[in-house]
Amino acid sequence: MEGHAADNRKSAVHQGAEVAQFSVVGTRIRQPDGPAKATGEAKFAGDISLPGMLIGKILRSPYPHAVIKSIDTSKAEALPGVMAVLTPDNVAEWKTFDRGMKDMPLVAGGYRVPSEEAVVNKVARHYGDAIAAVAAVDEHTAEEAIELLEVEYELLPFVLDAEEAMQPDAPQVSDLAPDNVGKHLFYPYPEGDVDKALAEADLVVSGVFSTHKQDHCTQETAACVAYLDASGRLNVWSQCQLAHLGRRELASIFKMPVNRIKLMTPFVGGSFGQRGAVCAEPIAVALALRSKRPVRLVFSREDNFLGLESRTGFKKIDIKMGFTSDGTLTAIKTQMIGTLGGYMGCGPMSSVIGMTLAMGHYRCPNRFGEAHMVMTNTPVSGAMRGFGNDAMMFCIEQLMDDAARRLGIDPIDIRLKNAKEPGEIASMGLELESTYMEDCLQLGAEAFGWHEKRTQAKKDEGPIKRGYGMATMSHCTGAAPLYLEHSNAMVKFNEDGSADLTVHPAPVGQHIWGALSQICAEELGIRAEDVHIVTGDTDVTLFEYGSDASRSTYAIGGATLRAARQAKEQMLARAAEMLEVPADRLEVKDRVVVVKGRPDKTVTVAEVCYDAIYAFGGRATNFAGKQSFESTWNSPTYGAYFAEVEVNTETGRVHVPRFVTAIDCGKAINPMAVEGQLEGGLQQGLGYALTENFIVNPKTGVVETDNYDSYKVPGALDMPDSTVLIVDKPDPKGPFGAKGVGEPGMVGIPPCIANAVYDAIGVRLRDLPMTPERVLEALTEKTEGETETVRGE
Amino acid sequence: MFRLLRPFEYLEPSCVAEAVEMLVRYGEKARIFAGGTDLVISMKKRQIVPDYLIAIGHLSELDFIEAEPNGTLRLGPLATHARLAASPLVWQRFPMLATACNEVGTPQVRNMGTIGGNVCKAGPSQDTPPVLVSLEAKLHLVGPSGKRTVPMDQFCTGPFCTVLAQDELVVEIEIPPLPPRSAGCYKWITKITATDETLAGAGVVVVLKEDGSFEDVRIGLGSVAPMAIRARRAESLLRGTWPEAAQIAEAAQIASEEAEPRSRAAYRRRMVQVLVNEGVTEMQRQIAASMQEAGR
Ligand SMILES: Cc1cc2nc3c(=O)[nH]c(=O)nc-3n(C[C@H](O)[C@H](O)[C@H](O)COP(=O)(O)OP(=O)(O)OC[C@H]3O[C@@H](n4cnc5c(N)ncnc54)[C@H](O)[C@@H]3O)c2cc1C
Repeated sequence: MEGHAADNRKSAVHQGAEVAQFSVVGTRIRQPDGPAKATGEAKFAGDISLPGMLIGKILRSPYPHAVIKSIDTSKAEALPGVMAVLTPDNVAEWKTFDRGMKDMPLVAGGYRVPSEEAVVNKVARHYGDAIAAVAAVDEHTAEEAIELLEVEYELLPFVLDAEEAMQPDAPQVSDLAPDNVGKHLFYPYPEGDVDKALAEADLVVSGVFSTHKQDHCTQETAACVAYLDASGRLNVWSQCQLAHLGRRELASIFKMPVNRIKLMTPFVGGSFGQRGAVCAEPIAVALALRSKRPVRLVFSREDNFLGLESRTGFKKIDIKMGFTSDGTLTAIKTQMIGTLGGYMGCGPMSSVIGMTLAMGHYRCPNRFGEAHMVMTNTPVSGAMRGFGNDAMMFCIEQLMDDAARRLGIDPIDIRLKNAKEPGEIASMGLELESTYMEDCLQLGAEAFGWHEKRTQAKKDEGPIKRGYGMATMSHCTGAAPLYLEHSNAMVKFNEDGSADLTVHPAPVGQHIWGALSQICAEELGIRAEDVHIVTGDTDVTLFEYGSDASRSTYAIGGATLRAARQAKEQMLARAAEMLEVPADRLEVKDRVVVVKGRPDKTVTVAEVCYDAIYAFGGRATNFAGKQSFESTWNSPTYGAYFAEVEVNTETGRVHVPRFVTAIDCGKAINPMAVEGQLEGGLQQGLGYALTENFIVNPKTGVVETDNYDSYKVPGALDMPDSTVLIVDKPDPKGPFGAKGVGEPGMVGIPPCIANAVYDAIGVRLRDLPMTPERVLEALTEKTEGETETVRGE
Repeated sequence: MFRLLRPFEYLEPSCVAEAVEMLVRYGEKARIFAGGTDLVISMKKRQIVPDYLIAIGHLSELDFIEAEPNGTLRLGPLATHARLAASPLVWQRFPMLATACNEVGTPQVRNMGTIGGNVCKAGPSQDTPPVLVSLEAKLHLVGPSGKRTVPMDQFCTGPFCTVLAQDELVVEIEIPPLPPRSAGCYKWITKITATDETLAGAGVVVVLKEDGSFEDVRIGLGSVAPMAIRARRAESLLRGTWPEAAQIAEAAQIASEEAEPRSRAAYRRRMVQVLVNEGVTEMQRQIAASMQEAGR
């Protein structure tokens, strides 16, 4: 009940001795976008204002399943100031769009997610489905117009629960899935004979788990501004994390060539995977096209909860793991039932990605997994930080703990025993480039005091039971080879030696501009502040897959490094002419080109660049590099997590006073940004584990948690005393050795807390969130269970 | 769902009498606006759509924290949670009230929100009513026909309903002094996060006789019934006795049966039991300890 008022953060970077000396990479630079954000100058989509701009609003279905028989728009249209009304019938030509945007060319193996979703829908497939929209001169008029729409609904039977939806007589959610199984998917890297291995195992641990539909709770809600200019080009300010794919998606819905669309990425207030699809864009664009005016559509918090994808919840994850008596993992068998909601977005892949990452985390010769991803009349499931790895690791790391306990092995040792080595095949089916999980475990255990805490006798604290738990995880860096991993960058030198880097990541708060400018500056031999980032406009940027799957620093950074190298080579060739030495004798550092071994022989980068641009006699040139990057490897990031919990056995409340995260994310380009990701991930992970819960009324299908008064995100006072440790050893493939760090921050949190709860009260919590009621229930069952055993004896 | 505020007129009366006049003139269309932390939310949710807001925040005659020599505490309805929690007059006399005020929402809400608004909102989950009920506070109301006084436990008539007439205002909250050998506390648990709404709250006042028996005990429960209530059956089980742990636990169990929670009912009842047990046990110990101290 009491929080920590003081700043309770600690961190440390542990560099390996062999690390190369960098001058820009690895420094804690101030972020280029910091001042704009601190002063309020930064423009987010909702800040954009254009002459004659209208405001959009959406009407959402109050029923979980209904046909929109008719919408009488006459009263709304008669209201002065209303400039456009969209109904399912009048936007029928803009038919369906692929919510997840993860279709054929993006996903290896021809995995395809069809959708029957329209800009606004004729059949409402979940509570809050968009069924009409208006644009009006101001927000009050738009809101009034929405209230004046008269809708005739034909209510249809609905089903909310994934397992019920699989019953033969269940109402059908979608024409695409007669049996409601939207996708029946398999673990893509099966191996061995899992049933045989389980039968032969010395120990089999198993459990049936469930996870819930966490909302991303982006600080900024979905928003979009769109207008068709006089030349007939569509201008869109879009938050889409995958800008070029967003543009492609809009081109396909509105049947335009892609270069008739200029998609601009403003600052984005958080994403966590939710803006991996087009969100406010289709309706905003449709309203702009219909009204022939600029339109701004900003989602309310309720719009965000109801109308966007949130984390895919799993109704059931049934896992069995086999071990030999010395703790060697021999088999993993997984059966999952996931809840997709009313449409197929990114939800189905949550199972495949989750199984892939989690079942490939440890060395294990026999693996099989299967998922039924089921459609229900609930808001749509998609990708959120972790993308299913969170759910699978919640199970696997608890079972790992069970195995350790039953075999009498320390939880750290059993993990080390089964940890993969470089050169083995990593989770994504590619060779493992680097892993420092052992370092993570060592550093984390030491900072946490693991061995002392686990062995010392526990004090009597009355109803409070104290426990210590740990977990590990690995997470992909980018999604090769399952998804397309294509990035591009351009680097040009200016006449004063500064450089412009053209790239298109999504600036969702992860400080990607800073990391990219550091990579660029390090390679060019200049300072981070010398690099200006040109970005956020598809007219200017080359194709960019975008910012997801913890890939931006790695993949966009990879393209940046190559492009910078190309520009640098051009610059050094000219410097070689100026200094009259071969180019391979030159190196460049801190804005100066030096002849190796001759510190007196130098020329500044600025002098070389000036000489190239203001040149006569056919020697003029502008040094510029343009490079593509498509990774065909994947370097997982490893993490170890340690939690101390206090479980109140009277109230069932779980309090986390202390948490230690140790991460192997390769070389930390900016340790401060890495710490930010891990602390934010801890908070989001705590919410997923303990406080957040997306509740759908089982009788009505109404979403009861559609704002922060009912959906509870942990705040500063709920945060533990947190220590973040960075192993900081480079990966051979990442730019300057970097790996991804966006998602890892939260993947390991729930199992770590669950393991600590077990240590405290001897009860396994297999369902997320671990609510006080569930804790008390589990305690009651345990006591009853114990009485039975006593009686039996 | 939160929506835009509908247009309204913002009135600033120069005194309480004028505020009452405005209430009489605009009737159902008007609302008193104190800190606004609650009212604005109700307006955004369209639960209330007033045409007139009668702001009282600037009326200094309603803004005071005063103690009388006999120990009575008089609070102006405009006293904010932040000031009440920080006021020596409050935490020396009625620390349980300071605790409750300090528990309300976040610093922003405590800086703006008033005790008058907290009481008049009369929502089931407000934090000061269970304390005020157990302290047997009285509310002074002013209307067109003058003043009247209502005991706190008769003020609420149901969730969000009070005996306050449309044209009346709360002008003072009076808390009578506690007898010697007494102590009180507020115990609560939030729904889930640290700054969350209260899931269950218990204001507990214990008065011991010189022989250590319970002369009086008052238990106010919040967030577990349509309004703050007294757990009178639990109280009477303890009154006049020398309760030991088992008896206090039994009283706590009875208190939980007196609660009438709606959502998360089983869990709330269980929490009532935990809070009452903890509160009564701690107060009994605390008074006994200070009696021992005084005896030395
Ligand atoms: C984020 C947040 C968290 C909160 N957390 C808590 C919490 O933990 N515990 C809690 O108890 N409350 C909480 N509240 C509710 C609210 O802030 C408090 O109830 C606060 O005390 C209300 O006071 P106010 O001055 O803002 O009231 P207002 O909003 O101004 O008024 C509330 C109601 O009382 C009426 N009213 C106000 N003063 C008078 C008067 N003198 N005479 C007659 N009628 C009057 C108004 O007309 C209105 O109907 C929270 C609110 C928010 C926004």
